[in-house]
Amino acid sequence: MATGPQAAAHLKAPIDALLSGRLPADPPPAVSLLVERTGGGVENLRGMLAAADAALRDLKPMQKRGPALALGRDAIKAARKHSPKMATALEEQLVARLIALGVSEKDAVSQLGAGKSNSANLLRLRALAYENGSEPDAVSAVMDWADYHRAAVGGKLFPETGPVSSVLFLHMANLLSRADPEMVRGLPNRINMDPAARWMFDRRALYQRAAETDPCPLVYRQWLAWEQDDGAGRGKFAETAAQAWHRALPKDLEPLLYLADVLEERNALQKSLGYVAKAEAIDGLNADVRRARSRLIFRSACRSLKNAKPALVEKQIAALEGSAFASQGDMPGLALSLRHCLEVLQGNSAQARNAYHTLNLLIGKAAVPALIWNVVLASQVPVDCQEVLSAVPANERLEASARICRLGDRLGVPFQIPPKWYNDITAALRKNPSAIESAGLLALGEAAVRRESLNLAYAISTAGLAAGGLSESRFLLIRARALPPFQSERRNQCLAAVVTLARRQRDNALVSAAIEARRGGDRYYDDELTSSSDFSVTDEHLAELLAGERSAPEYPKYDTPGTGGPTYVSKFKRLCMCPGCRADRREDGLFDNDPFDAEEDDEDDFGFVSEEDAFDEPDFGGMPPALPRELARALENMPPEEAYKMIIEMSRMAGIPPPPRSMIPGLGSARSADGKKKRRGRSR
Amino acid sequence: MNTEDPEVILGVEANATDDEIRAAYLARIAQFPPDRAPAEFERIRDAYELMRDPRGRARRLLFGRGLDWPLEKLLGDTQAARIYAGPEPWLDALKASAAARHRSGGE
Repeated sequence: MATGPQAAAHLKAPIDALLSGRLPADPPPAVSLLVERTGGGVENLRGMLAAADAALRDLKPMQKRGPALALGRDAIKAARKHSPKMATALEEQLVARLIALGVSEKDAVSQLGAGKSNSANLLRLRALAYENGSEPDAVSAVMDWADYHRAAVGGKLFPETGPVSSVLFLHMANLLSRADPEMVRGLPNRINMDPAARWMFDRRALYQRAAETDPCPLVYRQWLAWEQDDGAGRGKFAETAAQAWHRALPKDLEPLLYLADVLEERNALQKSLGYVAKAEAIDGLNADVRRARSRLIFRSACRSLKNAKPALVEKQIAALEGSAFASQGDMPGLALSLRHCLEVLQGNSAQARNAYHTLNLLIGKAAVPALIWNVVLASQVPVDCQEVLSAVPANERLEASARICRLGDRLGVPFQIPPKWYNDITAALRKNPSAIESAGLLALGEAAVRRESLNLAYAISTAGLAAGGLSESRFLLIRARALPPFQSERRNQCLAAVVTLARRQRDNALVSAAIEARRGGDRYYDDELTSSSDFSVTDEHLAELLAGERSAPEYPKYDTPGTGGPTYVSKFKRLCMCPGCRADRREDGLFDNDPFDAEEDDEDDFGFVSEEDAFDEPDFGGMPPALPRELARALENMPPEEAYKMIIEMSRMAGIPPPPRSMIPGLGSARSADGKKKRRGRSR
Repeated sequence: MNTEDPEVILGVEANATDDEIRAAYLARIAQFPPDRAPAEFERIRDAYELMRDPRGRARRLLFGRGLDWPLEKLLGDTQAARIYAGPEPWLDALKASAAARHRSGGE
């Protein structure tokens, strides 16, 4: 038989179909046998799995499920032939996916023709289905996770203590935040739950278990953050959590600093300083520890001011002057500003003026009112600063604010920018973006974000981005946090770029800050689930994003055209790398060519002469390149009509139209156009 | 081979111990040293980085193979190999298919 290049395409398609998993659902046994014997079984199953996967992925809760279920059932049947273990795993996956669509487990099992399973894996998948399904059910998910834990520990999948149990308990605790607290509280009684199992609905017990099974700062941090949220009167337990943290990980500074802070708030200054001393013994050079003592003394002095205890304030000012930070930067100004307020409150105007004058010399005329205003704010004392604040010339307000915000950052006290200065600062930045160095600008930006003055924060980020340099990533973070809610996609892209830049600079704190911002400031949810690997952009996209942000100086306004800034959605859309999508993009050509073509020196195995088997040649005796050699040989020796029938049959099996007779030159004659019967090969 | 699952890249179970992971990593980099196979080495290194953090490993074990996990991955690294089967099974299949349609009254 002779076929031309046009017919080759028609022959290639059915063979590809046979070998890549598009067989009919119930092929005749001989066809199944052929697929198995030619090694197509695995590919056929892979294709069926991909088809079922795609169908179920696209399925919406109220959509007709028939076709997807049929694909699922076919895949299960084929998987059972391949490996019973794999078939069970597949059944569990499919059942869980149907549960996620709102189908009951019983219905899912019967609709798929799946077997009964009580495996730990099914419990795990079911829990995931409940928490991520079309109608999330956190309570059912928590119950399933508890069952899964019991089954997995019983089945020795992981030990009762250790990171897996800890991660699971932490996840369950976080899941409960999605459920109505009142409902969760009353649930154990409503369902008459065994008291021994009630821990699963108690967030504190879950955090405690997570911490006990794997004492790790991350768990304690989330537990502490949750307890600190005083909304439900839990604040008092925060100290217990911090103490548990300190007991379990005595070398961690965080609980010590937290306990110092809590005790300081309770006016237990000596006890508080005791914890600071402990922290100093662990890491005396740590900046947080070093500033803790100064901060504590400053706050105490502020409270003493508020409580009108001048003797105590005097003591605290003396302690502040003697602390490690006392002589650094603008820190001497802090003690003086406290003294000024004290003298004003005591009515000693001469001493107050004297302190003010010295302050002027120390930190500059414009910065003094802003510093005193912040001290007054922190101590809540009746000292009027509005007059001196208004007297500061507009063009000096930017530098003065930056200076004060930097001082606050060094001390660990969030100093603020006087709100009446916002417009002048924004105008000054627009006029001269490089007026102040980046450290001051960053401190200013943080202060603006803290006060949710997004317009100002945006202007600061514009100035910082224009300057470029290593701080660019930090200004990009300020930009992301300053964007309005309707620009969430732009915000996410900026945060992804921040993570990429921060990783390059090995700035872990910045990576964490960007991830935190992405979570929307929820400190104790999904900490485990959002990985920094979700945030990565290519060099090209990064350059594009930075250029786009630099060229958008105007704060975006929803109703003002032209202020929207750059859009990155299409540019940053990631390519799906699943086999199906890759095949659609023609990136995956498993059977584009007969795999035998790639093999070298295999001709002898089949008895063909190598030069005649050069399948790249356009004419090699009329056989198309895609045709399997064994079939090519068989068809070659057949009468053309019979061979054509076989080709039609193959096309039908693959569900594609058969090639027209006219496309096969020489049909009706076993000889080619030159009248000679061509031999493709010879037997050995 | 699956290019995403660190367990598959290192050839260890999802609940493997630290020692098993390290041993698998050392064996793999001995097989693919950075000077001879830099791309493969980087993949192995990345997989090891993902697997060495016990809590990260725990998260993969609990949430890794979730509902969006591609079903094809159930086949693991089973590779399809085209096997020479001779002409008979091909012809048998084609004849069986034709006969089946003939019986069912098709063309």
